Amino acid sequence: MQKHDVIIVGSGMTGGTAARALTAKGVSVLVLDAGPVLDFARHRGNKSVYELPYRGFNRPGRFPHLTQASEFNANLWADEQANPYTYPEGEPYYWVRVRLVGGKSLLWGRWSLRLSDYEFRCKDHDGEGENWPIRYRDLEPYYDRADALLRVSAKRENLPQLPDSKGAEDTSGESEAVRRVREAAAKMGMPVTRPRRAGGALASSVNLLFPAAAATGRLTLVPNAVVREVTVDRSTGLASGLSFVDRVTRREYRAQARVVLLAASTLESTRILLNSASGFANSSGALGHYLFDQFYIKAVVQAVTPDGMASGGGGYVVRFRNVQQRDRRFLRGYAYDFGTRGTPDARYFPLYGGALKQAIETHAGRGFSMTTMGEALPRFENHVRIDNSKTDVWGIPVLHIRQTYGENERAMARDSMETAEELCHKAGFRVLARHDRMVPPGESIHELGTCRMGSNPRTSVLNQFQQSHDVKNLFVIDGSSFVSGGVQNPTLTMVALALRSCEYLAGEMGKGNL
Amino acid sequence: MALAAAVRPAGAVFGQQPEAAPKVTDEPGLPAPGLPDEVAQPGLHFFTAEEMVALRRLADVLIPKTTTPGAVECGAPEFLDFYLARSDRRRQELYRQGLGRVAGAGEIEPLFAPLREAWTPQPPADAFAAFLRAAKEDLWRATVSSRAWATAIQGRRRGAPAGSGADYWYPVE
Repeated sequence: MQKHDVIIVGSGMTGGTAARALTAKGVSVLVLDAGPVLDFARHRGNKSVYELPYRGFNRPGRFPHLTQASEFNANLWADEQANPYTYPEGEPYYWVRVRLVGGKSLLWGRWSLRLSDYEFRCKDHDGEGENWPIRYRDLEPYYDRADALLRVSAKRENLPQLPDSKGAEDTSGESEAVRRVREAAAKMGMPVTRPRRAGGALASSVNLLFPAAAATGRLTLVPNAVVREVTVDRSTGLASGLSFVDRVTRREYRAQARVVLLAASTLESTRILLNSASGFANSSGALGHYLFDQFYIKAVVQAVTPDGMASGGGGYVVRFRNVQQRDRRFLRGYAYDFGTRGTPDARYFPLYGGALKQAIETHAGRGFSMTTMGEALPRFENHVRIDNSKTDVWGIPVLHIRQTYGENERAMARDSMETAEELCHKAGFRVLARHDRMVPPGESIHELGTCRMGSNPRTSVLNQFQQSHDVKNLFVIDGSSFVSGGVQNPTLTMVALALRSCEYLAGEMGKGNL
Repeated sequence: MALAAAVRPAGAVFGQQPEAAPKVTDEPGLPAPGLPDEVAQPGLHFFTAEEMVALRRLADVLIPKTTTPGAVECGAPEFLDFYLARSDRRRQELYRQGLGRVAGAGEIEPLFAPLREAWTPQPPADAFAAFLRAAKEDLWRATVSSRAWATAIQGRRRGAPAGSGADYWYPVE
């Protein structure tokens, strides 16, 4: 049997980063992904909404937990019936999954924001939670490289809570509506910056990361490989490789390697570990625990800009609570993104008939809406475990996922609604509706934790290089390794962490330590 | 070198290993591809004839023809008949009971007071108010997502959103 240096499970942004970084260092890499390869030329077409059988209403019941699924993109998401999971009665979890080579990087929103020491040293700051085993300065050079890989553009602001990007400077102009928001926010002590995003409409691992890895000749990528578990060498306790089933032929395989890297996504990597030998990589008892994400309130305010005001574009209100001064009502903070130029949905107008049609026409292109993105505190009781009563179609036991938000998140949600409304008033926009209802946990697609890093092997699963404290040739390089998450979209940090860990890994392999 | 050159099926990398245990219980069958022709077929799929009359009457008041097409002209009631036939029981009941009340009313506009109230994320506790809200949103959406609407508003600079075409992803196998 062919034995590779490193096997990577998952081909999304972190798997792609690792494949690129390791092959560049001369390491031979095998990447397994549970899904097929997407062929843009063959699988992507163009349709008008009236050509779809459900006219954009979506087929009822196909994706009960996926508000992102539309009739246009329904074929890209993992099928919920084939890949089930469970949660406690009355506490739904919306798990958003893509099983294709490229993973969720095929669909991500491309926001690329850095964490700061407000997150890495969060416990030092307010006493809550756990510090990361690294500081911002440890990760900064890798953030610089991640910015280059993802072609991030940003406007530099010199804010301690949102370190500047080293990507291209965003010098694009600003519409009058966006300027009004920025000026109103400044009066309220809230910094506003331009969206910081990766470049290109398809900034996925498939086009940004894998081509360079393939060019080395050291990459093998096996699609349709659904991993069951990490296999263990009984004499050493180390990982010997992986067992997987081929989705197409149904054959069972074992793959062997010196090192196993899990990058299967936050909850899938943890599921693979929990489905492996009992207690594997879990002397801490922390595996599966400290699940969190960022709570979202979509359209926390819906407003309209004044008639005749030039609008267009959007922006980002940087986290401002508990930065300079302590807020008594809650810990941590939230950010907003906002957009102008849309047309408010019919539901927002308390009208019907000709008056409704007239109102929609009058306000076309004058919409202004904001989304709250708030920090959710990692808590031990928010966790995943194996549900032995159920398997997926491959016979692999599924996850039971339990995450709820607490009083701290709810207090922030209320504040974010009131603050957003005040911001609209100060900007001179008319508010049509406001609310503080958070989307269900998971829906933000920023799920993090369950396999956290830490300096202490008794309370964490991974060390500062995302390497198992217990099993030296096992790494978990995706979002499951996060200790806390702030409010920043996590992909850029995942890429930076993976770059740092892979540099360490390649060094250890070169020294013969692995 | 493109990624394709590095992609190989498991059998080509690992050969055929001994354990071909068929642990897989069932193939996730591809979802039925919708039934586009059925919308156009004569006959009702979900509503009774009386309910359909009530829905058209409601549609004509909620989204009437003005300088742009109305819900009836855009086939919104027929689409909702197709859609409700495939919806969950709760939504079906919401429409059944709501349309029953509309059918029994002489003047329907006096029933519409709930539509003059500001929107909240929580659906109204009153079932008829919840029905009116759902019907207004569904009828509007079915109107602007129709071919008739797209054709009628073509060339207008401002106006409600139309189906202008977007990326569509075919099944990947």
